[in-house]
Amino acid sequence: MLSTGLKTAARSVPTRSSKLFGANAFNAAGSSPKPEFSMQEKFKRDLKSLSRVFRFIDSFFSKHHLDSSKKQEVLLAVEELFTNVLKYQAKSAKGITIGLRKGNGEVTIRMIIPDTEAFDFTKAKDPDVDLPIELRRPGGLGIYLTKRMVDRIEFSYRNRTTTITLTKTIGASDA
Amino acid sequence: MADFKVHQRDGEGVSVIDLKGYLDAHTAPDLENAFQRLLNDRKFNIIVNCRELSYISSAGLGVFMAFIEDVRKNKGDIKLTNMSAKVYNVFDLLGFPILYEIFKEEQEAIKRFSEQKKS
Repeated sequence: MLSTGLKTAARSVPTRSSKLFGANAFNAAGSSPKPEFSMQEKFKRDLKSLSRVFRFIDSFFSKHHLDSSKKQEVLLAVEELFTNVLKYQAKSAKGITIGLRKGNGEVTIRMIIPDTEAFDFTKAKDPDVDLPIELRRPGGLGIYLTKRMVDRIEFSYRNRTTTITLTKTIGASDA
Repeated sequence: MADFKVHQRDGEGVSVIDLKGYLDAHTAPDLENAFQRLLNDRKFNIIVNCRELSYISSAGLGVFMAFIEDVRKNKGDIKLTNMSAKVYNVFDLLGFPILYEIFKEEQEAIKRFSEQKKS
């Protein structure tokens, strides 16, 4: 089993270097026990599923009366990962399961992607966003955005199944 | 969720694309088609008004990247206006303000095209 965690640079501090943490460090970050995923749904590996994914996340944020600006950031992080799977892990027709939970002042999003090749995107090199247009190369922007939209990312790979766990800190009033 | 809509208007020497709703990986081809139509019609002075754009992802930003070089080779430009703070933030994170001129109001972009035409 391959498992890594990435504490991201967070949107408000848009530096391009991120510090890696082990999975245990991620798990130890919250002292309280983590609640179960209160909402979970499976989505087809198809671009047409995106609007359903958005509605699913939207209903979670509405249900918990959470800050809509945080919702936009979660939507963006999830869309980028979802489309990345469609682009690079397109051979399988098996659906992607997304789970959401709120607790300990955080929203946690878990994506379970079966039948995948191992690709730990947390280790992917960030693109240079200061380059002029003629020197820019396609690719990498989506993962870069994901890293900046959430506070922590955990990646694990076991039995051809990739599990990605994103954690977004929410304001005290939302907690 | 909001749908995505692309609407094109033609002004004097300038074409304006109004965007509304969510520009994501599923809806990005709509914008791509709009740019392609303008290029086919040899309209290279393009303003994209983002007043009603609620959301943009890297797929949407990729459309701007795909067309800008062709537009500039033809002495035109793509200028962006009326962005909300959250949409601007995505552009900013990916370093787009150094690649594109972004204005608060559409009128400022029209004026800029007009100045560039004179010089």
